[in-house]
Amino acid sequence: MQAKPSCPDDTVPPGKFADAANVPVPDGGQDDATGRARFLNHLFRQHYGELVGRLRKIHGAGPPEAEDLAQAAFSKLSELTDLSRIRSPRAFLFRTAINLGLNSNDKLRRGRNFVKSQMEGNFSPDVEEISPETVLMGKQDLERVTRAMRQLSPKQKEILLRSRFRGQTYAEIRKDTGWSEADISRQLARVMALLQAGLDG
Amino acid sequence: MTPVPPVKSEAEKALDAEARSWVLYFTSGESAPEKEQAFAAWLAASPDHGAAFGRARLLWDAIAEADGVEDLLTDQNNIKPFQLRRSMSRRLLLGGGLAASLACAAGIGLLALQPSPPEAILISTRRGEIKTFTLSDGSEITLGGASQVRGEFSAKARNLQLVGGNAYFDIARDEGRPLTVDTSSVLVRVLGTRFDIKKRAGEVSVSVDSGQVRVMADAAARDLRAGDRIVSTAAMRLGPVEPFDAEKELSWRSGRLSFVDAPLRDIVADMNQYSDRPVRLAPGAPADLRLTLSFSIQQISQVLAGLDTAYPIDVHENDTEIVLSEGH
Repeated sequence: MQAKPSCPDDTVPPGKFADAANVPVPDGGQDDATGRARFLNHLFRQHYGELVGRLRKIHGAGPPEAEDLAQAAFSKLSELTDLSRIRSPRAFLFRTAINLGLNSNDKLRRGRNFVKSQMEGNFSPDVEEISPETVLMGKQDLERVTRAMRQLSPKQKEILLRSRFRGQTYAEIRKDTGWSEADISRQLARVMALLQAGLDG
Repeated sequence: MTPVPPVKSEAEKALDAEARSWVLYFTSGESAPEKEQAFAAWLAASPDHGAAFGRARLLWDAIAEADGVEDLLTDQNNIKPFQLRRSMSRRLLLGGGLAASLACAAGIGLLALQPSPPEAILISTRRGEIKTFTLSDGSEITLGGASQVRGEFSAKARNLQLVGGNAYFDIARDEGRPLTVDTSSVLVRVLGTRFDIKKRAGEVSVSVDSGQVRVMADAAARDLRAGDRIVSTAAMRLGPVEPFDAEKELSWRSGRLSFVDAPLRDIVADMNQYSDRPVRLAPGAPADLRLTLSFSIQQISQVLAGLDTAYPIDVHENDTEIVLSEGH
């Protein structure tokens, strides 16, 4: 099967962002302020349109609005001190935008904060903690997970979309779809088991 | 060569499952203090528990990193059509023409793969069905209800025809073999990109989701980029290039139809791809009435009932068809 067109992605070695525009990655030095601004503009031109498109598929017309999330994600990107350490700006932006969309739900934020308080280490998806160093899954593992996701039933995909990407509680999903919370819980447990099985090989 | 992970013991699998259920608990929206205490106690019980929770959390987080996840989760392959009633199947077969061949093809993609001679392609869907087909070059085509694409791939070219209905094309890039889609009034040409074509009586629209697309009609041609849409009619072979709302234009792939200020005649035409019986406008019905609405293809009956109530439209239905006529 031929590879499908996708944005150049996450195998760039740190400190070396070679691309068609030949925009050098600023290394964080003081006199690099204009270089940094140029680089951020370049990333904006390259990724903003697609990011909005991807977010629209997740959130539809909103709320939250795709453009709002995309702009907020770029804001977060521009706050990072060392841009050269981002493995994949495209993945960083999408992940950040999705998490920003989740934050709008109070009930879930409480759960996340509680987990954060219990755990050491960088496992929380909370936006404040997202940094280029955040532990991400390796490429081969991710491919296994993606393959497993393709096997999910339409119902499982719908529930996963709502829970993981739109941050809906089980109660909210039940209201929209009519499926019981017990059913939703069972389906999500099944989804995670299937993805884990895909990982384990 | 990717290393094969070691086989897990039953105990490890059980622990992983327990950790996953804790991850899911904290994303469910429920928050009971006793449960939170139980979680804290479980974590404290063994360092293995924290590690397992970390792995489960990583998996949950990583879901957002899956390649094309937004398409994977929102393209509803194999949206099941309504239950075909026996009398209806017979009527479709007797209907003749395109309707008959669509019913017989029953939504199966036929790929005759032959190395040297051109590869014949014929894919189609029944009414009510939305299905995605993968071609030999890795391209994917999602057909709406009652739609058909046929064509030929050879060593030099990839030629397709949108015979009827509508389709979303996700075309694998192949610089040596451009891909064309012929709708009989408009010809679309790409190297590799994503775009949507809707063919209705009297009008063909092409919307570009990504990349670059060349649209040709008679001698005229326009190059469209992501976010552009163009409509071709008999009167205006190539209309102006205009922006489009991707969510509304492409939501049909998830079984949702969206219309903004669209004439009733177009809404009825699209409904006909998904309703369990043909829907038609009687003479005198307000075919040009402009409406803005959005509905799931499972809700067509309710939507029609709503139109009867809110607009000067009367909806009559029997076993064989639904007729919209002028209301009072």
